[in-house]
This record gives sequence, structure tokens and C-alpha cells, in this order.
Amino acid sequence: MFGIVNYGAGNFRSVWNAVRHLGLDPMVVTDAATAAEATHLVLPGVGSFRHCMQRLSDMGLDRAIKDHIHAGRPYLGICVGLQVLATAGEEFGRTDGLGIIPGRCRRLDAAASAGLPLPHIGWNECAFTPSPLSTGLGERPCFYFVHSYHLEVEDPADRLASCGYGMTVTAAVRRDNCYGTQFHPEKSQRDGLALLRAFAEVA
Amino acid sequence: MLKARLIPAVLIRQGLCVQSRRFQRYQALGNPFTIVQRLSTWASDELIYLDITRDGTYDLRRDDTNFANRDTIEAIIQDVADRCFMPLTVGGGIRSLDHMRSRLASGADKVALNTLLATGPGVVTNAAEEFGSQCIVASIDVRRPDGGPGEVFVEGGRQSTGADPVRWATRAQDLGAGEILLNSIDRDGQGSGYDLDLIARVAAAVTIPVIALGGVGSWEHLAAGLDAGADAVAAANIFHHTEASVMKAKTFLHESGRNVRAPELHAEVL
Repeated sequence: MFGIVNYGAGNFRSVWNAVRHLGLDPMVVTDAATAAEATHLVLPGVGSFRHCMQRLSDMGLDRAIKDHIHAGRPYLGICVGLQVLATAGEEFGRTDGLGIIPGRCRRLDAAASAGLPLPHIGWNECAFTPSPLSTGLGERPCFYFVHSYHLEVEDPADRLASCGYGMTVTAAVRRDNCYGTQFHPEKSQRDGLALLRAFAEVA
Repeated sequence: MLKARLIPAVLIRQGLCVQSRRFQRYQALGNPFTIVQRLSTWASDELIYLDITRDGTYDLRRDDTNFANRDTIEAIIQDVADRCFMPLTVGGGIRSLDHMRSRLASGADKVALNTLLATGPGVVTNAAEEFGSQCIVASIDVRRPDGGPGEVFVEGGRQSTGADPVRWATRAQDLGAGEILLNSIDRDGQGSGYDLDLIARVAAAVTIPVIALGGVGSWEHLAAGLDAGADAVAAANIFHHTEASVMKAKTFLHESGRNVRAPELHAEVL
């Protein structure tokens, strides 16, 4: 079962539409029980790290997501859904994350210092290290980003993809079957749909 | 590096797509759904939907289309968002958090706030806190009748604020907006190009991205907008007249060396 978490943030519907467009039959995940039924789990996050972690905790999903990931089942966190994999986030003070990918979510300060606008909004070209998620992507894929914070990984091996914005921005992460994309595949037209399809095919 | 964006803007008035001139004269173009299908396929980076309906009715009242009549803006947004795998910004008549919630829940990614910046700045800040600044676009309409620094108008160009556009933009950023949509009322529908001076002054004053709108009559105008400092260039009227026009615009920008995504068909998106 392909599960998509709905914690009340804005972009659940977009991911839902994209997954359905791919011919899949997703189910909504709103608690530990529905999470447990999912073979694949997607967390589309938008807004703030702190709000997301609070909602996950309220819904009993923080524990359920950790269980899912530790059982080796495929997980895909999108935007804030990637960021909460971190040890901690630094927006509005320090908030604990799920602690799956060691590192902290920090503001793109170097980009701002370089005089670039924040949030980082628009299509940026990503460089991927090889992985099952890259199946079907174009040669220099562009994806849609809209964020001001990114996950600074402690272990470079956890960084699956990066893009440039006055600095190296973590575009995607991976640890075994746990994936995260800072960009929005559901808003990234062809390459985005290809990435979602590739994720659905991860065993 | 981040690419510059090309964004078609679709104006909706009473459920029909229209084009406008100086915010005054509206010519109907047709069904918004067929229009978004064409725009999604042809190299658009985002879509902006601006609802300029004045009396709240949306029903197309036609039986000759393949789409059910839609009688609320939310229903229209849902149908657009269901077909559109790229970012969608919706604006027009948004005056409360509930308006924003219903549009975001219907499938919009960002909301454009215009009059609310004047009548409810606190609501703008609350919205940025609830949805995140990246969801909030400050829509700023400017008149410069005698070539002076210009003045911001709200209520669809009907109500003067007396405010200087650069100050209004920095204020919008301080209130929590994540982007500026900067529109020249004088240039709207004239096809003589953006107000490049206005774009340059606002872009230099804020640290959030700026989207230019109003006046595009040729692909060169789009390039000039980027050169003047806009992070994204939007246009409404020009994309409705030619087949594959967004593709042509994107191709022009790419071949002229501007930093945009390479144009290619996205046939399988729809």
C-alpha cells in the first residue's frame, strides 16, 4: 500500500494527484494504524519544521515513521518531510527532528550573504549520485524548490543530490530505503513524476 | 544555479479566462481548463491564476464544453491543480485566512495578496506564520501617470493607497511575504514592455524574489525584465494569441543566453 501522510499542511493534495496520475492507488495516512499498513510512505511537508514535528507527535506519527524506516520500508520525505529526518532544526529556535539522518536544518545563510533572494524559489539543476530514485531522470534534471532552510548532513554519504545557490544546497538525502527531497517532485513536471514513479518501484 | 522563471498569468472573470487592458477592458478568451492544459504542456515554469471577478458568480453556464460548470473559485482551482504538476499561485479577492486555507486546500501552492496588504496587514503576517512565507506572494499594482516614482493601488486598481511602491514592497517583505508580484497598471495590455525602472528599483530594495507582470508584447520584453532584475517574468495577454507561445517565449529566452530551463515538451504531464 502506497501511503501519503496528511498532517494538515497545504500540499498533500498535489502529491496525491501526482501519485494517482501515475496509476497508483494511494491511501491517506493520518495515524499509526494507517501508517502500519503502508509498504511505501510519503511525507509531504510544507511550512515549518517545528509545526510539522508538533503535528507528527500529536498524531502519533513520529514513532510510526521511525518504525517504518527502521523496518527498512521505503520512505520519501518531501521538503519539510526531508528536513524532519534531521537530528534537529534551527528555525524558531531548536526543535528535535526524527534523528534518522545526522545533521541540522539551517538557513541558507551563505546564499543570503551572496546577495541571493531567500526563499530559494524556482527550478534548479540537481546533481545526483546514482540510486534507484534516479531511474528515468533526464541528464541534468531541474526540480522546483521553495525553501529557506536545508539539511546540512554530517555524513556526506547521506547526501543523494545537491544543487548550487551561492553555496551547495542539499537537494536530496538517502540512507538505505529512506529518501528525502528538498525539492517538490509533485511540482516538477516530467522529472518529478519520474522520480515519484522510481520511488514507487523501490522494493 | 537557480533558473529564471517564465510564468503565464491567467485572469479569470466570472469563470471565464479574460484579457485586460489597464485593468479596464476585458475580452473573454474562453474556458480556463483548456487554457491551463495548453499552458502546462508548453514549458511553463509556474502558473498564476488571478480571479478578477467582482460580484462572486463563477458559473460558465455553457453546455458545449467538456467540463462541468464550476460555480466556485475553489472548484476551478481544484480542476486546474488536478491537471497541473507545477506550482500554482492563486490571487484575487483574498481577504481572510479562511480564503487562503480553502484555496491552498483546493490545490493552490501560493496565495497572492493585494488589497489585504492595505486593509489587513496583521492577517498577512498571521498567514505567513500559519502557511509559511513561501506560500505568501505580495501582489503590488502600481500607477505612474506622470513618470514619477509611482503609487500603489488596491481594489483592482480602483483605490489609491498613496504609498510609494518600493516602500510598499519592503513593507510587504517585513510583513512576511515570500515573493513580490509587481504589476504595472499603466503598462497592462499595452504590449510596449514592462516598467523596467520600477522592476529595478523594487528588486534592489527587497531580498525576496520579484516576479514582473504587465506590458509584455514581445519575447524581448521578457528578456529585458530579467535583465532589469526580475527573478521571474510573467505575462497574461501575450500567451493567449499564438499556438505554443510559452514554448516560443522559453526558446527565445534560452537561445538569447538567459538562465532559464531548456525548453522541451512535457507531453506526458497531461
